[in-house]
Amino acid sequence: MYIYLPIAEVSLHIAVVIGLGGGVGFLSGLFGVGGGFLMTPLLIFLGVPSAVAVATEANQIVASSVSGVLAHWRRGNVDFKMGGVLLAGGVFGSTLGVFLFALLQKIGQIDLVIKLSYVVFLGIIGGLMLMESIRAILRARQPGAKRGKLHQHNFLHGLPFKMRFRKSKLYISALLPFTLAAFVGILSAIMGVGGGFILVPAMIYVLGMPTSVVVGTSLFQIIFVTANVTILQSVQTQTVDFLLAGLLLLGAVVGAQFGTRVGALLRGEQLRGLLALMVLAVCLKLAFDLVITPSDLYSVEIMK
Amino acid sequence: MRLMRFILTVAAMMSWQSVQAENVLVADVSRDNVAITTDFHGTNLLLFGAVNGEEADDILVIVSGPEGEVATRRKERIGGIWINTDAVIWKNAPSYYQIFTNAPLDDIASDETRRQLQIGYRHLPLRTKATNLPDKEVNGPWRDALARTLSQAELWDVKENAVSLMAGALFRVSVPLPKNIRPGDYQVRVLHMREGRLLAEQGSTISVAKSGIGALIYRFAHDYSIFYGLFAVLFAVASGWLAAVAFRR
Repeated sequence: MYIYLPIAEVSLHIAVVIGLGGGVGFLSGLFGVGGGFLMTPLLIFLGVPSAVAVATEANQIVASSVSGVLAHWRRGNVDFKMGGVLLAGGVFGSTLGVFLFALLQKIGQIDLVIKLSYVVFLGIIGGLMLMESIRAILRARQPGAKRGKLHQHNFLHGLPFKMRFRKSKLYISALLPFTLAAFVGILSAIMGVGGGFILVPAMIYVLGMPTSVVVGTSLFQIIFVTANVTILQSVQTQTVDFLLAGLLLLGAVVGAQFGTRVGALLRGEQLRGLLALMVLAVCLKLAFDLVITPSDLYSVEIMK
Repeated sequence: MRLMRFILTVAAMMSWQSVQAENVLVADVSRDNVAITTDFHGTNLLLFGAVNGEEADDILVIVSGPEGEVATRRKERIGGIWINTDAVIWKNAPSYYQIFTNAPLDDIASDETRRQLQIGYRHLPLRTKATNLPDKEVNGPWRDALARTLSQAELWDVKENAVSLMAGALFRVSVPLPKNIRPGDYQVRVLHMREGRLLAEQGSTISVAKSGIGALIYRFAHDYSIFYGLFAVLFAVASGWLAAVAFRR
């Protein structure tokens, strides 16, 4: 059965949409990531206009983050104070991102910028994760190896507006998480992702937060950032497809449950290695698209 | 019902014709409004009609969809990657433009006749937004690119020999409306040609509109966009929370 998506103005098979939600949901449950970095490019491959894919995916991430944060909240793994600073930065950044998106769309470069951002960030994150997990797997085979220092002190700790984050056991400048979240917020609005895949490693390695509170806190702030993107895109470009988001959600909710269960059976570093390979695969596919000679140098877009 | 009406019209026409030997052309479409419902996946319309013509006459059908802004962009390789550089924005390009004929177009009308009658994408009165590209290029390769890319999307096409014309009197053609059509009014022109000249032309309109839940969502999104956004967020929060509760172990 085909379903006509009223905002995207394309007709897709309902099984494809729910299956896509389920598949990405499974992977996000398996790896504990939002999955936006997979969903948005896949929606674009399926023929959903990139503006609709990005805005609709933001709407769907609101739901998956709410669902995810509740479990962390119950275990007390959310640093609300840090989350508050991050969400202030995230809302600022994502607002900027939505306007940037509209501008890029107007000058016809949005697809290029989306693809380039994916290639760059997925390439960096995927590469780092792969190296890290290979090292972890090797280390696990050499018992007695020592862990390094938790975090190092550098110039970043000399910035003003210092704040104490009790739960994260940190005393750092609020500017640091704010700027970080603002930057991720811009990417979030342009790439149609929650940004967890950038925020989580940055919170661990740049801010030096304890791993236990990182995921919960990042999910907490992603809710607000993606909600902000959803509302702004609704008002500015009317590109949030409620029907598409709902169907993806339906698949994703069920898929994530299976993913979580399968994930519990696998070892952490193996999981991270697999995730890294997947991230790199998406990155390479997009890079390839940018480099190969297109079959037609001209492209067309019906604007209104 | 429509067929009945058509037969009566033809009968009336025939009797009228015996009195007056003028040229007569009637045509009708199987449906004059198409609803884009939630399960819409493209459709075909049947256009049929009658004409008091001769064996060697030709019938040309032009269906043209809602006009609007259409952007064509050209890529260039810069630093190894393909980047859109030049663009031509057409201000009034039809989002759907298909021509159906009973014979090769070149045999039906000369290029000059086609220009006069605005048949074919080369003869559409298209306007563009200000561009620094020379007019020769805009109306040459760029206009061709517009037609080529839109025909790949099954929106523009020339279907020669698609009209079946029987004894120069009855004709019919199947008009495909693909799944990606735009809602709006579609203009249908039926032209009766003889030896390269126009004998009669008839026009009608097909209206394509979103309907049902899809139309409701679309209208809500456009007319009350702030509430739509808030509602979308609330719905997402509620379903995320519900999912967490439902699957809590």
